[in-house]
Amino acid sequence: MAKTLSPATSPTAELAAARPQRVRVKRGIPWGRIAAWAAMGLLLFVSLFPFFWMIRTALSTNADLVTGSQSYVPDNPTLLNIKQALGLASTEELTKAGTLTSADVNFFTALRNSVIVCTLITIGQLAFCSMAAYAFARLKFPGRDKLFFAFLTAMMIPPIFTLIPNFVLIKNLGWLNTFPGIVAPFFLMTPFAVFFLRQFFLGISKEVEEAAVLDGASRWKIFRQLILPMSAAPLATLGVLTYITSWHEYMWPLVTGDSEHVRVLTVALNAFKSSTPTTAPPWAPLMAATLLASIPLIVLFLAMAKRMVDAIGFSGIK
Amino acid sequence: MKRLLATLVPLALIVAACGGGGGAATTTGGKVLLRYQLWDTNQKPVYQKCADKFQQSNPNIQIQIENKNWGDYWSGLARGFIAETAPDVFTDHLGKYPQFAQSQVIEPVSTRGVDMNQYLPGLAKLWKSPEGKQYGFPKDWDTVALIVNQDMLTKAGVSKQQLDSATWNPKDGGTFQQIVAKLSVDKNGKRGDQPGFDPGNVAVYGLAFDPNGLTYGQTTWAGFAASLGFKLLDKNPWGTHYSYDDPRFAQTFDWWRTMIRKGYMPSLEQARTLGQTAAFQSGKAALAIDGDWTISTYSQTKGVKVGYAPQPAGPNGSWSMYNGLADAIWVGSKHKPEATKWVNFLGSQACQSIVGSEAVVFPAIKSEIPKAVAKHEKDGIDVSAYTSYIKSGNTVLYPITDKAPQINLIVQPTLEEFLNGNEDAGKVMKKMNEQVNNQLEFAK
Repeated sequence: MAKTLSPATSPTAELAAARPQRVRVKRGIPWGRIAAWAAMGLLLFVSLFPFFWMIRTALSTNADLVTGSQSYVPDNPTLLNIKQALGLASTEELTKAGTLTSADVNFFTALRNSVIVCTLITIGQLAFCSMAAYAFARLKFPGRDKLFFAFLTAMMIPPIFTLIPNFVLIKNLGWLNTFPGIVAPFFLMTPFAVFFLRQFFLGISKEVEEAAVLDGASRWKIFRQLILPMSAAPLATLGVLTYITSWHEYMWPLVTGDSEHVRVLTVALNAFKSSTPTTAPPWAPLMAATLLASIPLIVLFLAMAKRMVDAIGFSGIK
Repeated sequence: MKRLLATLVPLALIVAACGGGGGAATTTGGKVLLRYQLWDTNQKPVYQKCADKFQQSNPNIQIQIENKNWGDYWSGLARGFIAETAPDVFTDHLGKYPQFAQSQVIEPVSTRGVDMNQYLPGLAKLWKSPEGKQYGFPKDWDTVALIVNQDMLTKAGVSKQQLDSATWNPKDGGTFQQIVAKLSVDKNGKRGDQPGFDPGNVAVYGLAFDPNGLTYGQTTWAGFAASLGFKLLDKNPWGTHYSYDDPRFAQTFDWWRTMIRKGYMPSLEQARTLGQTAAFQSGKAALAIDGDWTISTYSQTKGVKVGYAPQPAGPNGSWSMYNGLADAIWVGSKHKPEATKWVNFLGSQACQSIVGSEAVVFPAIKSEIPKAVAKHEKDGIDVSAYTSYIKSGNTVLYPITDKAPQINLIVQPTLEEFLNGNEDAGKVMKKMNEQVNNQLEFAK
């Protein structure tokens, strides 16, 4: 309690001030709690309302977006936009609704591609970054800290700077419009993932490892039998983060993989851009497709959120 | 770790296997597969018919038509040129081809054996570079007219004849401004010409517009300014000096801003969110200014009787921008002879006759135009507003110069800022014009 007071006040004054304050907190209305809940409620609203509005738009007719009542419930609820996003609507229906676009979204192909790309990136990053992070945390070799510093510096380079050199490299490799091309820049490592895991590995007590060394375990064995299982929680967290980030990646898959057989969801949503120079994008089906595209992530997050908590509880760390 | 390795090894194999799979096959069943890209969904069936006819006489070629949205069309092409996945043939735009020609990503076409006089006068020369190379055969043409919500017009007590013969000037907007004012209705039901009209609370705008493409103003200021005798370029195509500093241009744009302030036209922001077509179709605007390629879209508006009127007549009469498209061949095409054949066919009477009878756009070959007019007449649509400019000759060609993309990056934002702000038109335009001409000078 005393810590919260300013150092300028004398010790006696501190005591005098602290006592009645404590009593007041106990008896009064829990304002802090209320404020916290209110703030959380507000944050929830701010982050969930746009999502709600996306659902609302997805279920409205495109014409109602302009002329409708703007109430919380669509005026003429329809599933046509969802059907269009899934490629199940007929040209006639779409012409009538005014949402016919020049390009097809090919939702399921794009979904498959997104899953392939994100899974590859996540597996690659977890495998390679954990090894790199372990090396930076535990192995001793000359120039280790300098090298690590160089890694950290790489975090500060905006990705747009590496876009063109990466593109040229991938093009020269002949990997344009292939999965390896889309996955390559993210597959081996990102500085963030290495940094994230290294910080965690540093926190694991050395005694555990020393005990293993005494039992004759090699570095490799320690890494895979001790460190990795103990790090299940941060690995899961990193995995989910990586998956979400790669799911949202737009620029790189756009420039390297705009062919239908490798086009990922974010790029496929381009099918809902304005189809002629003087028309606006068809917002309703765009929102329907965006909604569908975000469902896998929500499912993943719901499934993994529980596991992450479990993993933290099980490993007994912290 | 064994499990990790067990996942990684096959993964590496998959990655390696995928690497070899690049580049789609270009032949199917021994035929040459020619990829043809366009952006307008409405036109796809028309050109599919052309393709069917073409394939009959060229059984060794198969045309694959690919649709791409305008919003992604040009950036997609640019990516395709670099990644070497661009379509063999694609629909090109006058605003874009000079840069393509300069960067040598499109092939010139050979005019040998093609009757260049069959096209409407003026269209073909737009596709000719300063070096005299032809970069496409005109396949259609377009002009711009007013799209009219006839029901709203009647309600406002204005006859179609009054609108057809409306006059315009940049000072008080002439009878055209009076009509647009009458057509504007605020949320309390007050019309724009009545006292107490609230410009901040408008239910129906008299005139909608498309805020994109302000640089050349094809569907906005071009016709208005031209009716004052304004010419943007010293010569067209391939002008070397812009005249955005001409007082007639400043007056036109000043008038435009006044109309927005008065609540007769939507603000830039509103115009952009709704889109002109949506605003008109949903009854938020009584008039729109748009090109003939949108006739089929507007005519389908539910529950509204749609008409078309020529742009209002300024001191020099009723004017419109006059533009057209052509097809271009990508230099990286592996089937250039076949692509050339297809492009020649697209510009020929055989295909243009189909374009005419389908009447989504107007064909570029003179003899085929009546077919399109007749088709529209059969559907109960009077398109004389669009053809009137061809008869009167009151057309300005789409401006073609070097550095068009760079110039657009200067002009579009400046004009947007002008419409949103309070700056003096004369000053803004003068400064902008200097920047634009600097671009051209440095191009040399």
